[in-house]
Amino acid sequence: MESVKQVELTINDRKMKVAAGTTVFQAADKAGIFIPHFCYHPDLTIAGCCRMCLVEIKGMPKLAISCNTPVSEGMVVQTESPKVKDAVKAVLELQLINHPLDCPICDKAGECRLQDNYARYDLQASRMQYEKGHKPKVMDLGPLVLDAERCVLCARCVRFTAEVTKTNELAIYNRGDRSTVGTYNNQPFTNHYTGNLADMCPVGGLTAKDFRFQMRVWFLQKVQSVCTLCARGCNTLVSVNQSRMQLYRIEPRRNPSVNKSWMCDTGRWDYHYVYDNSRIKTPVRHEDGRLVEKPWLEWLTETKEGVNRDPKGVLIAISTQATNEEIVDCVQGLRALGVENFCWIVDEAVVGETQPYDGVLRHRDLTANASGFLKLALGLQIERYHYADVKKLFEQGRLKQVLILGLEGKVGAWVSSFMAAIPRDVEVTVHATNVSPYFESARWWIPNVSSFEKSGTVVNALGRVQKLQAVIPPQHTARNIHEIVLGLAQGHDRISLPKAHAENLFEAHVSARLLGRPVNWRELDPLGENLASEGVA
Amino acid sequence: MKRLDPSRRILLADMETKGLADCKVFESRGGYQALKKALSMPPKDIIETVKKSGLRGRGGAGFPTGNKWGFVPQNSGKPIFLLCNADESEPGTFKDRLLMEKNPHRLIEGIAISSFAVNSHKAYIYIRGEYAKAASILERAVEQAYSAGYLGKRILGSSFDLELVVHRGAGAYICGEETGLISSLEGKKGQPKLKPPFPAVSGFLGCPTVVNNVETLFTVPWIVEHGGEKYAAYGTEQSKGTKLFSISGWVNKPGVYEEELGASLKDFIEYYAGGMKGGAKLKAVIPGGSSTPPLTAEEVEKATLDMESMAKLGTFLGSGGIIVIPDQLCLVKLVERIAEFYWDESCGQCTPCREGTGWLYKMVASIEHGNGKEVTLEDIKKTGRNMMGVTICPLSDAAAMPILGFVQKFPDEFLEHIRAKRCPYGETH
Repeated sequence: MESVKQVELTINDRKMKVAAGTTVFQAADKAGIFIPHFCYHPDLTIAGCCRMCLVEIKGMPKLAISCNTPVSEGMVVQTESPKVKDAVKAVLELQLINHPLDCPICDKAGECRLQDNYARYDLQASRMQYEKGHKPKVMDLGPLVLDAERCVLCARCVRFTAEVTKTNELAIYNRGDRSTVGTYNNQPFTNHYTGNLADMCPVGGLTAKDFRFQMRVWFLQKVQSVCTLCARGCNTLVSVNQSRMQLYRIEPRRNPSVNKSWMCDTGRWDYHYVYDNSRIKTPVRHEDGRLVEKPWLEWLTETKEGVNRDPKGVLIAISTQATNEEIVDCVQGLRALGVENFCWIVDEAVVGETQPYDGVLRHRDLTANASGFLKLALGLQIERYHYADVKKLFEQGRLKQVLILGLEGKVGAWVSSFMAAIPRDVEVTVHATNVSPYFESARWWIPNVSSFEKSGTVVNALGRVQKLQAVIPPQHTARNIHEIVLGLAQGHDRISLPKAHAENLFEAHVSARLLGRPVNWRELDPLGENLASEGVA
Repeated sequence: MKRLDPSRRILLADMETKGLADCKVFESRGGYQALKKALSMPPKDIIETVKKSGLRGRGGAGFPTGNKWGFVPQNSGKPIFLLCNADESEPGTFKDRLLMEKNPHRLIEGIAISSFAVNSHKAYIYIRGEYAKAASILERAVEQAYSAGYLGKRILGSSFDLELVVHRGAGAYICGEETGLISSLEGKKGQPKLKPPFPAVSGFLGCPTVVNNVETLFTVPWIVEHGGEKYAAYGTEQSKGTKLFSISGWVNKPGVYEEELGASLKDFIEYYAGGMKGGAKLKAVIPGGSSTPPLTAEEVEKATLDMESMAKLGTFLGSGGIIVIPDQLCLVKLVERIAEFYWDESCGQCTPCREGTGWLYKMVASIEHGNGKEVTLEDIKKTGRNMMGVTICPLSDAAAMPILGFVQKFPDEFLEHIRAKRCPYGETH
C-alpha cells in the first residue's frame, strides 16, 4: 500500500492524526465529534451550501465550513466554541423562518435533521413575524412525494441523480428564497434508485410512498442485515415494529466496499412478498389436480420413506438463495442419510458476474449466495452441480425424487428451465416462500422462510461474507432448510432446532471454510469480510 | 485641493475623440502600440510591471491584479482562460459601460496584453445581458481586431494566438461574482462555486482562470506603455492610480468621471457633479455601489476617494458607484429598495443569504409601510449580523452591510417611521 502522508491537528483539544487531503469534517467524524450538517453526504460531492458545519480555526478571521476545509499540519479547530454555536444557531434560525413546521403531520418527524439540530443548537422561539413563503406541496413524483416547503435545499437529491444514477431528473428551479427543488414538468423519476432520495433527504421534503404514514419511526427498531434480492448483497437496516412483529421499511446501511449508502428500489420495496397472499402457508400436495393442504409431518414421512428406499435416487437442488449454513447443514445432514446428488439452482448464464449491469448496484444474478455455494461446493466436494450434470442424471433415469430447497420471493427463468428438465415420473418437492406458475408440475409445495425470518451468512458477488439476521418470526408454518434436514434425519418433527443453530454452525463449520479461520458469529464484521483467498478447510 | 489635471488622465484621455470605437481611429490615436510593446516583452516582465504599478482590481474587491496573475500555474497541462468581467450590475455603477461603448479597442488591447502575460489563448468578455448596445459595439470591434491582426493566429507576427469571444449574460447580478460568472459561462445556473479550489487553479471548465474587471484590463495598456512606476506615482500609498467614479443621485451633473485616488469626495461632488441639485442639503452618500454602507453628511466632509479612507469610515470604495442622497429623500424607502434588490438577486444556494435577504426585505418594508415595531429594528440588526461572513460568496454580506449601515447611522429616521406608523415622507415621492 502506498503510504499516505499523515497530518496532525487538534479538534476540541483532542490531538489526532489523519491522512493529508482529509477534510476537517471527516477528521472530526472519524474521531466521533459531531458537526451539524444538512448538505454534506459521505458519498456525494461537496456542495457547501447549508452553512451548518461551520467551525472556528485558529488564525482564520472567519468561521470556515468544515466540509470543504482540508486539514493542515498543526491546525487547531473548535467545533463547540460560543462563536460556532452562535453561528449555527443563526443559520438554523434562518433555515426555519420559511419552514412550515408541520412536524405533527410530517412523516420524517423523529428522524429529521432539522428537528435534531433545532433541539441541539437552537431552541428559541421564532422571531419571524411575516407570512412564510409558499411552495408546491404533495407533489407526486412516482414512488416519492415531494413537499418543497419542507425542503432545506441541501441539494443532496440533485447531486444524487447527477452523480450516482446520472439520470439528472432533479434540479433546483428559481433562485433566492423562491428556490424550489423539482423535476422538469413534474415528471416522475426514471431511475431505479429513488428510495435513496427519501433516505438522504434530511427533512420531510422527499418521502417514499411505500413508507409514508405507515408507522411513526420511534415505534421501529432497526436491525442490521443484508439484502438478498441480488448478488450485490447491499447492507441494510431492516425496520421492524416490535409489538406487531412486522416489517415496515428497508434502508441501506453504509458499506463503502459494497453499496456505499445506496440500494436499489427492488431491494428496498420488493419485501412485500413476505406478506403477499401468494405466500405458501402450509405444505400442499397435488392430488389429482387438486391442491390439498397437509401437515408438515405428512410431507416428512412421505419424503423420508422415499429417501430411505433409494437415497441414490434423490437429487437435492439447493437454491443459491440459501445461506452458507443451510447449504452445509443440508449437504452434511442428507449425506448421512445416503443421499449423493446435490446441485444448485441459479441462473447459470449470469452467475459469477462481479460488476453490476447498470453501473450502479444491480446484478443480473438475482440470488444472494452463489459465491458462497461455489466456495462451499469446493470444500464439500460437490462436483456435479451444474444443470448439464443434472440433465445427464435425468437422462440416465436414475433419479426418482427431486427436492428443490430454499427458493425465495419471485423466481425467474432460472428455476423454470430447471423444472422443465425434470422427467414427468420424478416426484418433485418445491420448498419456496411464494407460489409461482413454474411450480405446477411439483407434487409437493412446502413453505420456506423468507430471508427476514432466518439468520446466517451469504457471500456476495464481490466475495464478501455478510451476515443475515432474522428480524421477524417465520410466517405461517414456514421452515428453513435446517429444520427440514433435522426433520428428515429424525423422520418426525417433534424435536425442534437448538437455539442459535445457524450461528453455532457458522462458528463450528462454516467460518473456517469461508474465511480460513474459525470466527465467532458476533465477531464477524457488520460490514462483512472478504473470502479467504486460498486454503479451503 | 488634490484634483486630476485633464492632461494627466489615464482612462478617459481620448474619450472625446469622435469614432474612437473604430479600429482605424483608435490606431491613429496610438492604439495597439502597447500590445506591440508587450509582445516583445517576456510575459513575466509584464506581470512584474503590473505588480509594480500597484493596480488593484476595479470590480469592487480591490485585489492586486499582478498578484492574481502570478497565482496562475503555468505547468498544469491545461489551457488557461482569461475572462473579462463586464457584468457590471452593482446598482449605481455604470463606468464599464462607458469604456466599452466609447473605447472598445482599448479593452481588447488590454485583454490581449493580459492574456499574453498569463499565457492564455482563449479569452471571453462576459457582458451583462442588459448591455445590448455595448455588446454589439464590442462584437464589431472584436471583428475589426481580428481583421487587423490584433486577435487570432500569430498576432502582429508574433507566435502568440488569442481567440476572444463576447458572451452575453442573461441579467443576473450574481453572475458578476467571479465564480458565478464562471458557472454561467459554463452553461450552468449562475451560482458561485466553493473555494477552494480557487479559479486561478481550477476555474472555467476546471482549468486555470483569471477573471478581471473591464476597468482593470482597460488600464493595462497604459501601464505597459508608460511603466509601472509611472502609474504608481498616481494615487495614495495603498490605492495607486486613477479610477472611474459613476456618480448619480441628487446632483446637477451625474455621470462618469476619472479622478486620482485619494481625492476629496466632497470636492468630487461639487467640482465634477456640479453639486446638489436645487441647492438641496446632503443627507448621505453611498460611496461604492449599493452594497457599501453609507456615509453621513459629516463623514462626506472628511472622506477621500481611496480604499484606506473608506475603510476608516467603515465602508468601501467598491466599484466607485457614488450615489448622492438629499435631505428630502426617505432613507427607509431607499433601504427597502436595496433590500428588495438583494432578495431578488440572491442565488439561493446558501441558507443565510437565501432566507436572510427575504426576511430583511420584509422587515424593512414593514417599517416603511407603517407596520414596524421597535423590536423590528433590533431584529434587522441581529439578522443582518447573522448573515455576514458565513456564505460561499459575498452577496449575503453585500445585502446586509448597507442595510445595517443605514440602520446604525440613521436610526432616528427608522424610529420616526415606527412611531408615526407611516412614512413621514409620504408614500409617493
